[in-house]
Amino acid sequence: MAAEQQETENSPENSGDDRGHDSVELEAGADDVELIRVPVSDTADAALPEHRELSAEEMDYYRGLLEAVIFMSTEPISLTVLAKRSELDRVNTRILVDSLIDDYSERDSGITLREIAGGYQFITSEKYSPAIKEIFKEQKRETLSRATLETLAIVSYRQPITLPEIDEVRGVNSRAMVTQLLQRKLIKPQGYRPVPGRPTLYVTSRSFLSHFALNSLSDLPTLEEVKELKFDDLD
Amino acid sequence: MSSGAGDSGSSVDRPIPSDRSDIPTQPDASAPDVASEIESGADAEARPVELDAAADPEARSVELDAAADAEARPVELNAAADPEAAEERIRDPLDTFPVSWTNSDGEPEQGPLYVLWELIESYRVDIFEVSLHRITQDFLQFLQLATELQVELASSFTVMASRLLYYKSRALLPDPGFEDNDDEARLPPELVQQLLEYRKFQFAAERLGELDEVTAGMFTRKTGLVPDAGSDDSNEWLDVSLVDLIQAYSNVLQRAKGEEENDDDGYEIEMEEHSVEDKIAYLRGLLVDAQSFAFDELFERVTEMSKLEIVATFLALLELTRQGEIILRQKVNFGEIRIFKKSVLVR
Repeated sequence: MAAEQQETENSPENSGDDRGHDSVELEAGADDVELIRVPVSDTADAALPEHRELSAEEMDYYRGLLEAVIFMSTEPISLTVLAKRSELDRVNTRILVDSLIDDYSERDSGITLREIAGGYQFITSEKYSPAIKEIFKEQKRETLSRATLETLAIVSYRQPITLPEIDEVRGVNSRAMVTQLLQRKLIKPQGYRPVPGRPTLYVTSRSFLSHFALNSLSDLPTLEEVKELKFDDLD
Repeated sequence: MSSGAGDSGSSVDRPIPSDRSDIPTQPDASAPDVASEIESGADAEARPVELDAAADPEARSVELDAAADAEARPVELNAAADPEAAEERIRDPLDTFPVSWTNSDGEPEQGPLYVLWELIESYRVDIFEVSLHRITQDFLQFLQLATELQVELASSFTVMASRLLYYKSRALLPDPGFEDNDDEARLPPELVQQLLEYRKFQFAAERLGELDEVTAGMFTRKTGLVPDAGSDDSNEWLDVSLVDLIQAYSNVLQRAKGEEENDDDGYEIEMEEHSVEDKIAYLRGLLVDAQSFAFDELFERVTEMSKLEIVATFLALLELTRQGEIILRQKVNFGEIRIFKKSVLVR
């Protein structure tokens, strides 16, 4: 269990840098399963202005600007991009965005501002989910079958994981489910396990986080250890 | 089939499992009798009834209604064994089996572990208390009924069935180190372990499913706009997807093809001058002086290149990528692809 938790804690960084599309698999070395990533964060920071105190007027201006930018974007925007494009430093940007988030949650309205997949995004409130689903029926998204959800759960908690390892947990061939998840871009291949046959390793994608409106993998419900199971627990 | 199978020969009154609330809480007590019950289910008394029912089409609907009645079920089951009636009847017993294992399209997609769990749940006993005998019996019966398995699924079910039979046969041998005066065999620890591990993810899947339900009704704005990531001198590069690469390559071929069509002087056979090895050396040479170059630079004189040369160049690119010597990056999706030396990007 300890190992699992660690994995889950490590992975958000992974998905934060992920640009949301499949990458060409690169072989870095026999025992290196990670993709080589271009370090981006420090260079991006360098471009940001120095931290300074903002006047009350400036605060109002930038707060509104950030709100408008997030409102316009179709995808979650990272703090770095927000800061850079509004010519603010990180600290001020975070303070302002946090205050926006607080505002929206206090207002308890139909729209909330949430951290999703390592960025900020406006999304309709959870509270109205059933009603909205009913009103916008044609937007209905295909639900995932039980077997597919099982496979997805195994990948999310055990990533990176190979197909044979998934099969072992499920006790049955899961190729069809993995294919379906790949098609829906909820998981993606990332490197190989350096064992005979070099099976592909699968991890959850950035769209997995968006799909379930999660900020990072650590927001997944914790995996319960099932030790003893009385039938009373089943109900 | 935990319940219906052998009730004709037994005094234990177990209603059909489709209505679970009615299941008595002591069903395990009858477990040791299952085998004998099964045999008695096929006894001489039941046979004639079943054959009559199969022969008379009108009787069938009556019988279907009666399927809700525990007494009628063995009859129906045996009918399934009758080759003539088998085809149209085979579904009926499955419908009332405690295991439902098909997706919305009616396609079976769940494995043997799932079926085992459904059986265990229908027994309503702790997993450590499940009778190996009973579950093996029920599992085999399920396998007989489920004739429409896909090959891939069927194999895993057969493996599980043989595993259960193996455990069962092993349990018949006396265990010298263990005083087993108590009775009957339970599930072996390795299977219990596997079942519990699988169970964990079943629960996780349930929770993901609930989350899926909720987030299906939470919408973000679809403006189709994303903020421009910033000035071009930034060092942010994206990974190049395989699709991008294929797209770029097919563009190159397109350009080469356009040239070819003008040239209809017939065939001319040329000596092969381009090998992938040469091109690899060429690419390496390019990266000695420059840190990176554009994909399109490689194919600038594509109109003068033979198809072989284009293919060799592209293969060289793929080979070097595979070996991790070079890395492909782009600024924006569908943007220009640049080729970097690995050492430039990795510290």
